[in-house]
Amino acid sequence: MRIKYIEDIVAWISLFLLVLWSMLPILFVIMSSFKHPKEIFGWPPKLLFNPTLINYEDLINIWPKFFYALQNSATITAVSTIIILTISTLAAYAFSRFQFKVMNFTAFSLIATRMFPPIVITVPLFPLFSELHLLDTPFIIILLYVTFYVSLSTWVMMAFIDEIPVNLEEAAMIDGASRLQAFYKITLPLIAPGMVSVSVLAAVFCWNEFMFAYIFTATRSVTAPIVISEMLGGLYGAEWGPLFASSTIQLVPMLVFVWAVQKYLIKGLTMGAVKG
Amino acid sequence: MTKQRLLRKEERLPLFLITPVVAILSAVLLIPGAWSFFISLHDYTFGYDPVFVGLKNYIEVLSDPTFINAIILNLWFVFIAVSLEFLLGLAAALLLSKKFPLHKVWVSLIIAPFAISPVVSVVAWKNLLSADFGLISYIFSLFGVSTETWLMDPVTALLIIVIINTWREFPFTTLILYAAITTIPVERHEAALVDGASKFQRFRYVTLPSIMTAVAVALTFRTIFAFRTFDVIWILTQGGPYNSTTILSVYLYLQSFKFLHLGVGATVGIVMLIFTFLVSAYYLRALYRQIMSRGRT
Repeated sequence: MRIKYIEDIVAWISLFLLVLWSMLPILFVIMSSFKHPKEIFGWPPKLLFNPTLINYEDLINIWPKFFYALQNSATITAVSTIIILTISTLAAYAFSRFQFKVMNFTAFSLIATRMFPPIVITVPLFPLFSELHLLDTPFIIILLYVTFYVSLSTWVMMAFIDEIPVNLEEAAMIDGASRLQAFYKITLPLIAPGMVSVSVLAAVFCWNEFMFAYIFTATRSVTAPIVISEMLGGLYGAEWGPLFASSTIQLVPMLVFVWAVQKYLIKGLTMGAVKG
Repeated sequence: MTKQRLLRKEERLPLFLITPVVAILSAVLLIPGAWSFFISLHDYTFGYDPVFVGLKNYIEVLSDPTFINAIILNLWFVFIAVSLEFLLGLAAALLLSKKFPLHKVWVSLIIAPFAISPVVSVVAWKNLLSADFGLISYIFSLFGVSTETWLMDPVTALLIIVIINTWREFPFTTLILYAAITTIPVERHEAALVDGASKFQRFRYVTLPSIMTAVAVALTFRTIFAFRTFDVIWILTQGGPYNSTTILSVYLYLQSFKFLHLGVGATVGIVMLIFTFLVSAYYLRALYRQIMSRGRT
């Protein structure tokens, strides 16, 4: 009994430390964003302080660019996610329901591209996009995000569609529905959880992505992470006040979103990885 | 009639459905990938026609100490980061499998870093480690240790990147391993208990063998993805100080977009590609078998 008691205490302490490790850096960013600049630099760092919105005001006044970039991020994330979801669901349906050799091989080849390091294609694509005057447009950013998330999404959707018995669709087809009607009316509602999973994973990726946005955008289609990195590496050192405010604005919506649909995120992640 | 015609019509539908995905991946990934190889055999920079030079870029790169250094750093980085992520991920997964009250809340809090962008991760950790006002610096200062030079010292700079990387990426391992642990039938643990197995023995002989597939998958993926790390390093140190955090992806970026040696950049890309496929060969083979055996039942 006594050993069990000690074990429980050790487990609770470990859990507490683990939560601290994950949450402390995030909490400090959010907290600091409400600190007066004088207090941000206080030594020792204070946990209790009078909250102020002055950093957010500074952000609005000094960095209007950030809000422009935030809009870009939102648009790019939304459009990319919708495209990824649509085309990967269609492809996954085809791979799942028509399992002949050519289709299987194509499915494998597409899914294997997930291993491809994204930075490798920046070298051939940069001169090409430059030639076509496509640099710094949302179009290429969306194109790149779709490319690098469509293979995982197809794989996850395939796993979900595989779990829906074909008989259901066949029954509907016997009743006179066309194949697409059967898919649309029978299968689609059943794979809705899978579609949520894919959307969450894709949205997190697009909202947070740094490398492609850094290389392929400049001003017009710049995204929020890029502007934050500019504040971080300013000529006269980081501007911590606006930096914390913008970081908070960038991270909170995604964190809340991920927590809200956590169940689907976990399902999608584990299906995407372990089913292989 | 028309069985033949029906079939043909049926075969057209799936090809039609996969066209968008195939087109995008071919146009943006496979063809540029092949084009990369072509560029790697040429002297090439913006605005000029590529000049064929054979393996010159490969020889040049292999005789560049910065490149050799980048490979060694990269392997160290992958080894340390993936080991830490794995150990922490496994510990967290085992802990979560104890089913605390409010289980879901703890899972949410622990996997939170997953939702944070690389740039905000750097903001967060730079804040904690800042020598002037950081919390971690303060704690260290109580023990008389100064963090002032950490980002300027080659070893500690790399270490900080490893820590940030571990923080960002361990939730992936945790979730994969946790999912595997929860599917182990309770009877197996009960049987081991009846046989008088200790806690460690149950972990070693029941839990661990049951999650080996998940372990292999998690390690494969994390090795590949850690190998190509770019964001956190570029945002935090830009490869410095003195190239001490210039791993291959940073070297590729510098060669291509700073020195404008696209041929050399493409060569580094091919080296990264080869490494990636070597590491994932076993996984890809398993995937190939699984997918090609579909539809035969």
